[in-house]
Amino acid sequence: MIHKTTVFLALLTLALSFCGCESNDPDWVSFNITFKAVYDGQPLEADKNYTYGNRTINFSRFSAYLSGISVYDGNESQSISEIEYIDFMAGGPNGVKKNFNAPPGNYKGLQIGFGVAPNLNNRKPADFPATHPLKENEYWIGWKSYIFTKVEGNYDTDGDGALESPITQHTGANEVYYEAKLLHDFTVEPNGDITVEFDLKKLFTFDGVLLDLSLVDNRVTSHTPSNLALGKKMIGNLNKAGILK
Amino acid sequence: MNQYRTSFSTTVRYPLLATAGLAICLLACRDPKNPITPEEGDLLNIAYNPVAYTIPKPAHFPQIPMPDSNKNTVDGIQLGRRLFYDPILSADSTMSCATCHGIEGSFTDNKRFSIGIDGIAGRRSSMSLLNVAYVADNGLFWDGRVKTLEQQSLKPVEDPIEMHNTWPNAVVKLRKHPEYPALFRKAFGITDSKEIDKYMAAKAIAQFERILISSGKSKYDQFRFEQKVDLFDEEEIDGMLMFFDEGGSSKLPDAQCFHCHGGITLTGGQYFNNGLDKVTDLNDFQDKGRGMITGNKNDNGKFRAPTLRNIVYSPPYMHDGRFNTLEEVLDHYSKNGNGVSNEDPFIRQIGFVIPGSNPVRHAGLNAYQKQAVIKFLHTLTDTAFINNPDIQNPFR
Repeated sequence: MIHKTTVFLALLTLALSFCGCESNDPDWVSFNITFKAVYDGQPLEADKNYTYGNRTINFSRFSAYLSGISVYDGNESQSISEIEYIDFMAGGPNGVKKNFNAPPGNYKGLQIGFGVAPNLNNRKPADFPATHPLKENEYWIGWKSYIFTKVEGNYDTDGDGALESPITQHTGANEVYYEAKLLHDFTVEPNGDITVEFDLKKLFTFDGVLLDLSLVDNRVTSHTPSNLALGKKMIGNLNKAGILK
Repeated sequence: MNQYRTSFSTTVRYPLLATAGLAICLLACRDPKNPITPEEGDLLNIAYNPVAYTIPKPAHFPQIPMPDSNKNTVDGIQLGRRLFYDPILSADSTMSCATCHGIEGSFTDNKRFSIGIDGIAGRRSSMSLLNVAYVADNGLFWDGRVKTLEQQSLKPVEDPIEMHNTWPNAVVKLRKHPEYPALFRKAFGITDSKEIDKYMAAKAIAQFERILISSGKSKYDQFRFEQKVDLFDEEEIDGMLMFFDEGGSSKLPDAQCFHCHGGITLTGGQYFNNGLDKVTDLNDFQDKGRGMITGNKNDNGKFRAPTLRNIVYSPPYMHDGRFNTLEEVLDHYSKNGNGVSNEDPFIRQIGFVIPGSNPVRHAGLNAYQKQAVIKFLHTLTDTAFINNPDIQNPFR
């Protein structure tokens, strides 16, 4: 009998560990979150040039893993997704709409983990089902880490109007992961919609000053795992670049 | 009598002759292997015992996507394998899926442009089907115009520059065939031949294509995932470090390959402009590739990055097969692109930074570096896959 109970508890623990914290509670309701990227308030579009200080910039890719997305009521957080991969530009300027379930009611904000939470990042693509966001596309064998965020594009370094300098800012590694709350009152109701918007100009702004993209080390972080400082700085700014609507 | 004879001729003899002629004609036209006309329930005497099939995969490979609506079974795969290699689906029974996706070429045809039954060349080179099960999510073909293997399998049969058939014709041939109805029965549980349709055929072919998975026994797999570190020589290690941008950037430059050809399968299945053509406007690409599907100008000139596993078996290279050798491919990437606005930004960062360049420019790869990357690409060769008896042509 003890043996059976032990086995049952072990199986239950295993099942719960795979379920994460999300619930299939029938009282929960379905609602949508649109993940959208803008630049200085304008919709972010590929092949469109934007002003960056007195220079020009464009973007071809902006993607991010967001872990442990939770609704926050002012006291507690309730997880609604273990992890999402958002390719912001894949959906065009209107962003990417995803469906979630949560207890209906009023909330003060969303809690979001920026990047891949270490408990997931320490695993390998082969550990995940084929439909899981961590299946493999963004796994970097060399780092033994997922690529948490990608910002790619081009920058006019010398001011001649030609966007000759590539931007390839990739971040990853457990050290750069962090969690934060985007605060804004909202209501979860059946088929309701909220928007999480990231402004890339704010992402590149530190203490009111734009990151100096004339420096190659500020444009390219894709293959410098030792350059955790910039990786931390950039992903750390996602919280400031994000707003909840 | 003559009158009687005339009357016999007009009322009896001509109809008899006509009937006999029709019978002779029907006998002559009928497939000699198929004396049976399908009837309702004609397959009920054949057992239907589907056995689920778990696709073998290397331990370090991701799990294989499989749709609930088409789970692999032993008999489904056997049927799919036969259909894949059988020219029966083409209008003149001369061309099969394997004509463009032959096992010797790691499921390509090693031609710049594939040739259909009418001798007409397509406009793109055939893609390898190795590990194709993993890329279906991101879209199939070079431009991602279909999302599933089941949808993809339907296309070449009716393509006028490929098999140039109609599915109704192909289905009639399958229904009347002496062996296929029984194989469809075993795979899908149909009770009579008339139930065979194009969707079943496509499902079976998709089941077979899903088992085209690497063996995981390439030199690279053994070196990297089984820690058999003595397998690589110095040049292969250098090539691998450059491929994955792990060279530390001081001794070895970054070749930037893995950004498009990353992950375990060495492709993320995503779409890139890899700097092949110089255009002044994104609408000027002769072959707009992904842009034709999305309607997004920024996708013009982008194509799906193919797997680099077994790349040695599958020349020529690129969507239009413009490069015959890996040397030509590496020469292309070492030119650092054309500066077209939607080119992948990594193209311009291949090789060491040119000292003093402002704006910063990269030098591409030198002769040793190119050769080292090519030598690394050879370590991705998977002969165990090519020799896997489960995926060979069953008609040989």
